[in-house]
Amino acid sequence: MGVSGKWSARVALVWVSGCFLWLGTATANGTSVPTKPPAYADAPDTVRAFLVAAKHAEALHDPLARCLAYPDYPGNAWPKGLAAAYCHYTHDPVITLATVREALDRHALAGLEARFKADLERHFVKDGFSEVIHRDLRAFDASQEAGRLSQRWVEQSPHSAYALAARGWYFRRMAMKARGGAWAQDTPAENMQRMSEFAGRAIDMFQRAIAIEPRLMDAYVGLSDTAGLDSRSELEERAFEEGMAIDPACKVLTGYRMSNLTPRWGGSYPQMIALSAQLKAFLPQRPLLALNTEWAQVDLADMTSREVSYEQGLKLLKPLVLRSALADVLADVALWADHVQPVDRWEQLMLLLEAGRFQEGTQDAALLRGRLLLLVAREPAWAQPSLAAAVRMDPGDAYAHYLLAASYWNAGEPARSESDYVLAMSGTSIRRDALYEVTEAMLQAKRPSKARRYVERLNKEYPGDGPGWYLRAGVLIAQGSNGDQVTSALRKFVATADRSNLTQAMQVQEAERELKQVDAYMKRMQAKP
Amino acid sequence: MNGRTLCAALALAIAVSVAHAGDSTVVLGPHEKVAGRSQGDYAIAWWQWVMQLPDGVRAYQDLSGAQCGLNQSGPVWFLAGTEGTEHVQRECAIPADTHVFLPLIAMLAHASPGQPLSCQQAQAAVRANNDHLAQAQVLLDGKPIADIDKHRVRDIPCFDAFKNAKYIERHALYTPAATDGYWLMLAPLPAGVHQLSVRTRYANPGKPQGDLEEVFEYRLRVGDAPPAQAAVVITI
Repeated sequence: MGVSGKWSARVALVWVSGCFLWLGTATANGTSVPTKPPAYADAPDTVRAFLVAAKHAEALHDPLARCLAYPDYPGNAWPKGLAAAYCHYTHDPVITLATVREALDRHALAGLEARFKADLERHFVKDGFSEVIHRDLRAFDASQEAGRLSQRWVEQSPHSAYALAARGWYFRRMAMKARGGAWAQDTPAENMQRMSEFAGRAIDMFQRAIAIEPRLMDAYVGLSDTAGLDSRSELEERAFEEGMAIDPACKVLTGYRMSNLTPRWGGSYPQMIALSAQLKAFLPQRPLLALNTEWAQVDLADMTSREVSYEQGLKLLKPLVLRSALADVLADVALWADHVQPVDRWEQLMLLLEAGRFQEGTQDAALLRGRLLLLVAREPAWAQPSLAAAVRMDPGDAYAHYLLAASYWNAGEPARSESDYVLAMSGTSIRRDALYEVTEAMLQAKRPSKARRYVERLNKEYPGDGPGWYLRAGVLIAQGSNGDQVTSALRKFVATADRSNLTQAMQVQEAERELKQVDAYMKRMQAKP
Repeated sequence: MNGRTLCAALALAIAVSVAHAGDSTVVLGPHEKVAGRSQGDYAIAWWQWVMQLPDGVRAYQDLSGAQCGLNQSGPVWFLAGTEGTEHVQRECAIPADTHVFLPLIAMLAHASPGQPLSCQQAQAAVRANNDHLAQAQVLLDGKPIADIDKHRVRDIPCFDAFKNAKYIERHALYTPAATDGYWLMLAPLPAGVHQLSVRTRYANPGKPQGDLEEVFEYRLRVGDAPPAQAAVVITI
């Protein structure tokens, strides 16, 4: 879901830019950007304690250590061991496409096979139990790289269950890509046909993998899920039952099953609740199952938010934050809250930080987290990873570029902000602000010639924008331009300023005073013989 | 390329009947035109044809050839290769009296949102791998087509690869695009079944798609498909 901008764009820079004339002076004198203590020093105690602990954890370089050190969401009643198990599941080292590529290039497939086998064994031991094998295979997405590597792997190791399962997942995800996300009635026949072709290949791969390694849970997951996608319900059921016979508490198998039992996919809430009751018996040994057990209410909340209102959806979803650490739920509560007034920004920020502890999440979540860190917590450096992620996930999001640029500038790196301000200019609603702010940033970076180029564009494109002319005067001063150019800019500012704006009104007064002095001086000079 | 989009087109071997395999009258020279258009024009039209559909449904991702007739029109029938993710064997019915055009191996570079690209940059990006063609075997009905290296189509003006893509909202963000590669234009094949196989590979280590390998086969049934209804419109 999209998050609309609720703050005016220039709010991002209020505490840095201050008044323009100060800026010009600061630049000329080489004064650095003033720093202020994080604004959450004034936040409620619970929030402050959470943010201080979170910031401490964020300083840790190792992702697993960081996750384990992170504070749990205040007031939670999560099952014992859930947060730690979730951290291990999402941050334990995994096999990546780069690992596979290296093994293929070095013809070291025995080592690769051994690593997959070791991770599979961890699924079936009490001490050192882990479901990381699922994440190993998750690397095989619908990318060209995954397709090429799985092709090469199967070619070189046609009897490897892991290679076949990897290839199966690649085809499974291509099937979903071909299908697209629209409702069936809105999906072209050729997409469905192509989906079915990919699904057929995936099913073949998963079946061959199971024949070689009958304990490979991910092959049952893939087989059941792909069969469901291709409306082969008998195969879907059989694969699920066979997988459950091997491990009835597998987080991933039961997670997919829960998703496939949602009403939109032909299941029902009673079926989901029945499976949930079955899983709850395993919670003491497998706390990760808490991520699956609340799924019926998650789905109901989701449907309610779509069909009724965010407010009603939120009433159903919010209580789950305290029962399940599911990152998607944490993030959705924060995102949906944007549509329900009044919004508790501190709560939103805590939710998004907690969600980010476990997984990167969506672009919306990363953008809102970065925005809140920048504008509410006033932590520009802390905001940067979130905003950089938002930009990476949607390079065309001009507003994300704008906030990232602002975070660089506010963190005392004005020069670094330039490229993102330039990309932000593609957004028509923020183009003027981006031009304005990049001019200011270039002044602070002591690059007046660049500032001049940007202010020229600003003045040309927005000749009625008073602050743009005021800024021009500052740029000209920084460049050491002659008085005529500066006074000309100030006169245009006086003519175009919005005097109902307090800041501009004060600047107008100041400019008029300066212009009066200049005019008087000129008169005196002209009067001299 | 650092984030810019590169797509690899696939080679297609076009098989004509045994009697015509390797016959220079079957394979047009790279500078020969069809219906007044150059092969550079057809390379552009080919990418626009491919990109008309979203990722996942594109012609080079077709596993069986079942959709080879999708969006075909005019005097030239387009065939596709792969993106190097699968060794495919396709079956395709094509009309008689139609030229066949396909990339043996080719590159496309285009701008994308947040990742602008100049025409010059795009052209440099697509040129690199094609300067390092390591393998090119094309068999038509079992007989090799010679001198594949002479079929490079290059120095094509930049264009909008997504011109016909209705799923793109802001086309300007995806332009410009550039292409470079090895293509084949075949004269209309005699009615009947023809086998075309292609194996091509770049050897440009460490570069994006620098190790791309295309392996695919077509079983072409000429004369089984109805002639295309509309003329190809090419705009550069």
